[in-house]
Amino acid sequence: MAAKVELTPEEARNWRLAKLFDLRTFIGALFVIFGILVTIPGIAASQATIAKAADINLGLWVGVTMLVIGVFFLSWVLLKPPAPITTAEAEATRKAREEFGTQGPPGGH
Amino acid sequence: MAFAATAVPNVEAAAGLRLSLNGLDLALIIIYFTFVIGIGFALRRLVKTSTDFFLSGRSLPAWITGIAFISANLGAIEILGMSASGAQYGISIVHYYWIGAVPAMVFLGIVMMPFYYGSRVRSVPEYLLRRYDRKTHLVNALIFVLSSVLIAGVNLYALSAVLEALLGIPLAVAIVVSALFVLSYIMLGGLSSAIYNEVMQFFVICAGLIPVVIVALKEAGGIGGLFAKLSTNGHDFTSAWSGVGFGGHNPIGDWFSLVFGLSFCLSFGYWTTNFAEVQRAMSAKDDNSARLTPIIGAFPKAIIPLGIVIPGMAAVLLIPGLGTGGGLAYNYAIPALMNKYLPTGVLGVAITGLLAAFMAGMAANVSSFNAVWTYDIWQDYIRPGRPDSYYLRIGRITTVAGVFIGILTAFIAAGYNNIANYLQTLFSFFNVPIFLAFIVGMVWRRAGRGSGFWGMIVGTLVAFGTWLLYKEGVVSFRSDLAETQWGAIIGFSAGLLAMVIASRFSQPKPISQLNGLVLGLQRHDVQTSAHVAWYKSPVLIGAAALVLCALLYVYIAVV
Repeated sequence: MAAKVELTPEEARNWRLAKLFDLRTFIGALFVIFGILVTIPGIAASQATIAKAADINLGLWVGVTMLVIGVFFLSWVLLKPPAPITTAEAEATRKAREEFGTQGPPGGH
Repeated sequence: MAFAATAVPNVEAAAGLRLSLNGLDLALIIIYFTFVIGIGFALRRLVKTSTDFFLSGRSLPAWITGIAFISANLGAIEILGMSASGAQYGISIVHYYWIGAVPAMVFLGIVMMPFYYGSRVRSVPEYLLRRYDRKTHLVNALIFVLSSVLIAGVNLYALSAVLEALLGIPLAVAIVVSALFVLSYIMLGGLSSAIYNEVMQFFVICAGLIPVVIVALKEAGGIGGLFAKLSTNGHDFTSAWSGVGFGGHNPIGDWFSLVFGLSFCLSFGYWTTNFAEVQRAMSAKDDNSARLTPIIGAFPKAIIPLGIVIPGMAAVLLIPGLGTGGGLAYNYAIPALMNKYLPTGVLGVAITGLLAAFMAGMAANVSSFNAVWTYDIWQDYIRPGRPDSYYLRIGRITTVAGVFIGILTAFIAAGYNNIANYLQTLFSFFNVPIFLAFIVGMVWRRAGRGSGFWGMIVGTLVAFGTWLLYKEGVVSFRSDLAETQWGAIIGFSAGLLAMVIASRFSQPKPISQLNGLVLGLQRHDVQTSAHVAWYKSPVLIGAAALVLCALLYVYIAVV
């Protein structure tokens, strides 16, 4: 089932893109950026800012939490990248493309 | 959403709530929307077929489709409307989640999804075509297309009204800019783009709502302290099950209408047949992931009231004058809390989450609209038998047309405020009879070809008639909410009767045409459903979601 197949150049390219454009990459990158930007004012928070939020340094807490979540998503992509295309999947996709429009949607997954 | 307790946010009383965003907050908003467009461009290279565009190529894992499933429902009307209902009616609003949503989502995953995914239909109306006849299919497809494009406009209006109130952006500019945003990312990446954004938005809105809940509860002395302080507003305000007997005064309704009207008719009708939701599950990579999609979504749905209803209630204490003549409208409970308590940076994240949620609501409507229009109307009735690339192009053109009609609707709604409410009321009449046609078709194999059509027509007219009689004062219910529940029960019963009668007069479908569409005649996808690990079992996880709701009921009763 999981045997590697000869991919057409287009399929190989799509798989590389799929790895880079994995949703987890986007969430991870966004949360790392947001985390840093929110943490900085949290570190520099004045007493008045903290008092405003019921004596909790929200900037620091939210910022660091977002940073941790972002790192989690990025490590997840690195440790478990999307599965490469298998023979069955490549076949099913090709077949579906030929049949589609007359026979209904692709049957493979 | 379609049966939410309150309608479109009322914007007039928000002039006093202009957010004080500084450069950092604005930068966060800009970064987020750069990501949104970036995702569109990235995914554009992966869209090759119409299935890629409309169903994400049926390739997504269950955690993504599950979060997208709940996120598509977490739009402007949900966040502002349900927190407003919490502030106005109190804790009983949790019924709209714990018996009015979660059971329906679990039912969709366990019982109905095998029919949708297993029969390989590409849309919800297509199921009706295979199960009944063209008449049933066309009525359902047209109602869906019309409602989703108009509701998209209502969502757009609500979003822009909030932008105007909070950020001071002129309404017309807000309408056009938000619509172009939604248009560009769906045009580029299709459903994948919409789903990616829904999942990203879900995490951002959590990062914005959780701090608000924590601060609001700390100020109010915890949930127990909050309830104790609010008990002066009457016992029903802080006790979900008080006054739900017949003749009681709980404004949400009595126990019978809650269980059969809200939970069975209304919420099953919304969650199990609304293509904007089901489409997310259909894009899952296999049979079991499709079934898990709504069930995974049920867990955030069970927790969400703690982040929406509870802060709404807390705002009654913490925002002076909320909901009174001179103060802010109830709909602004959550933005007001954010503005009052969140520091720079966190406020930016929270507002980004709100804006993203508003756009996601509209994007969900647009992405389901273009699929149904292209597959169920254009391909089936107008131009059949063309190559796939033709339908992909039609899908993109439809997206532009849909957004354009949405913009027009938004401008009309801006001119005539009440139209938005009427539209929602109007379309709410269609949900329950459509669910009737599905559930009867799935469990009763002798339901005849024409019976689906008659069930939908009679059910809709009777529910509408009940509403008219209520508005004219001929019959009375304890509240508008109770009327929608009883109207649904009466419409469902009348439609069921019509289906039974119609089935006696129309020929049943031959068994050979019902395989995979009716209970007992399923065509199981043996390869995928044979060996599922216990932690991926839809029945087990679904049961856990129901237990969670029961525990939450106990918690709010004893706290």
